[in-house]
Amino acid sequence: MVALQTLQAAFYRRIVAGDEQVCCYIKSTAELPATERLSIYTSAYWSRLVEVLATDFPALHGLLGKDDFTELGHAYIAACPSTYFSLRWFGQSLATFLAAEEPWRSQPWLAELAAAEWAFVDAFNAADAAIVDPSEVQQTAPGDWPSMRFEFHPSAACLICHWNVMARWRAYRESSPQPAVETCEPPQTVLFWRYERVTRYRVLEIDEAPLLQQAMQGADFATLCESLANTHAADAVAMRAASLLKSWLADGLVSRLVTGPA
Amino acid sequence: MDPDQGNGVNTDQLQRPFLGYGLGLRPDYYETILTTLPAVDWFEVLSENYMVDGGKPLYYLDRIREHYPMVMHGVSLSIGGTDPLDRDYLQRLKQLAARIEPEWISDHLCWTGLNGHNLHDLMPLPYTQETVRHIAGRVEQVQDFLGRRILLENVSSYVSYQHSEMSEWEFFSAVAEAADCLMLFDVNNVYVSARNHGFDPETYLYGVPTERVRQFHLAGHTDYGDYVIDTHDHPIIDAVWDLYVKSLQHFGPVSTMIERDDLMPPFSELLQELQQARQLGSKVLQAA
Repeated sequence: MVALQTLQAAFYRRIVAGDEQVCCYIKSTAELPATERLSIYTSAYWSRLVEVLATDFPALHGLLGKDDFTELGHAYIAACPSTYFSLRWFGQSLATFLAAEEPWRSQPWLAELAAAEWAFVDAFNAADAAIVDPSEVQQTAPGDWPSMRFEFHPSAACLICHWNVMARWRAYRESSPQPAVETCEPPQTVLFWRYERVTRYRVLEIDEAPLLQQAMQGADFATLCESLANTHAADAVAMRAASLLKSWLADGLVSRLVTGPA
Repeated sequence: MDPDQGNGVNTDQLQRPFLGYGLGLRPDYYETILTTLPAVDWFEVLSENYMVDGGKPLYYLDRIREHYPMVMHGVSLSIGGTDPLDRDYLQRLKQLAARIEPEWISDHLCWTGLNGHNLHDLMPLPYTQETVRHIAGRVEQVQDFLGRRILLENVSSYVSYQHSEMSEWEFFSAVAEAADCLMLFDVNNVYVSARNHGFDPETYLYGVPTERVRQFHLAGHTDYGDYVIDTHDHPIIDAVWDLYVKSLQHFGPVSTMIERDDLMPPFSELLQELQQARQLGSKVLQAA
C-alpha cells in the first residue's frame, strides 16, 4: 500500500507539473476516468490562484488582458508557489518576478504597476493604530517643537515610480483613456496608506518626498527644517514645514507625537 | 436503514449546543449586516480572512461580533497532511479565538499542501487505517494546543483511491472516534461526493455517529452532468434540501449554516434561503 506521503507527493506533482504517476492510485469510472477526475483539482488550482492575482492586481490584469495575464499568472505560480496559509500573501513577489523575467522585464512599468497595486494590498491589511488629532500639535509647547518626532500609521509606505504607472492605474480605475507609457522625470514618490478603513495614495510634492521619508525614519522637526533649508529660503522654511506637518495630520498619517530627547 | 429514524434525538443528552440558523460572514455583506442587524442567529467566519494585522476585516469582525454568536471555520489546518502542523498558523488561530470567543472551531478532513507549499484546496484522503491513525494523532496535538475539541468537516471529493479500505462515512466516523473530535456534517458535500462516486447519500448519513455531529453546512454546487463540483455559487437544490430534512430527522437539532462564496446574491436572497432552512428545521423538529 502506498504511504500517505508518497501518495500526496504524486498528487502534488500531478497538480503543479502534470505528472501522471498518481493515476495508478485513482479509481476510474465509466463516466469519468482518473485523469479527468484529477484534472478537476488541477484546473481549480491554477484558476484559483490566477483569480487571486487578478483580484490583488486589477489594473495589471485589465491592462494586460485576460490571456496575457493568465500566461503571467501561470508562470508566476510555477516559479513562486504559495508558501503561506493565507492567500493574502500570494502576490507578494509578483513585482520582483516581473522585474526579473522576460518578456515582462523588458516593459519595466509592469513591475512598477504591480508594486503599486501590492502597496494597496499591504496598506489594506496593515495593523491598526491611533490617529493624532491635529489639535494635539497645537497644544505642544513652543519649546518642544524642535524635538518633536512622529510615529506614522503602520499602513504608510512610499514607492518611487520611474514610470507613469499611477496615471495608468487611475485611468484604469476610472475607465478613462489610457495615457501612453512614459517615464517620470524626475521619478515620483507615491505615498500609500489607509485612513478610515479606505486605502489611499498621493503623489508627493518634490520637497515633501525626502522630508516625509526622513520623518518616517525618526527625524525630529528641527532636522526636517534644516533639510528644507537646502531648498527653501530661510524665511519660508518654518511655514513650509508647518504646512507639510498639517497635511500629514489631516491625512491621518501620524499615529503618535513624541517630544523630548530621542 | 436508520435505526434512530423517527425517534428524535434528545439534544440535552448529547450536550449539543444549538445555535439555530446561521450564515457565512463575507465582506460583501459587512455593511448591510452592521447597519440592519438581520435576523440571523449566528455567523461562521473564515478564520484565515481575519489572520491579518488590522484594517477592514477585523473592524467589521469585532463590531458584528458584538451582536452575534460566531464560530470559526478554517481551510488551512491540513489535518491530513504529512508536513508537520504549522505552529504559526495554530498560534494565529488561537489568537483569533481569544479575540472573538467562538462557540467552536472547525476545519476540513483533508490535506492542503506538501513540503511547505500550499495548494489552497481541500485535497482528498485515502480511507485507510493508516490515515485514521495519522490524523488522530494530529487532531490530538491541535486540540491540546487550542485547549478545546475541534470539528472536522467532510469535504466534497472528485477522486477515490484504489487502496481505500473503507467508505468515506466509515472513515469520517473512525477519525472522529479515534481523535475524539466533533463533526461538521456538510449536507451538500455528501450529496456532491455521492454523485461523484456513486454511493447512496442516506447510507452515509445513517453511518455517522449522531452524538459527534455539532454543525451542518448547506450550500449550492455546479452540476456538470457526469460530475458535480462544490462551488458555493448557486442556491441550494431540492435534493440537498431533502437530504437536509433527513439529516434533521436523524440527528435532531443541529446548528445549521448556509455557505455562499461566489456569485454573491443580494443579502435578502440569502436571508430567504436561511428562512427556508429555519422553516424546514421547525417543521421536522416539532414533528419529532
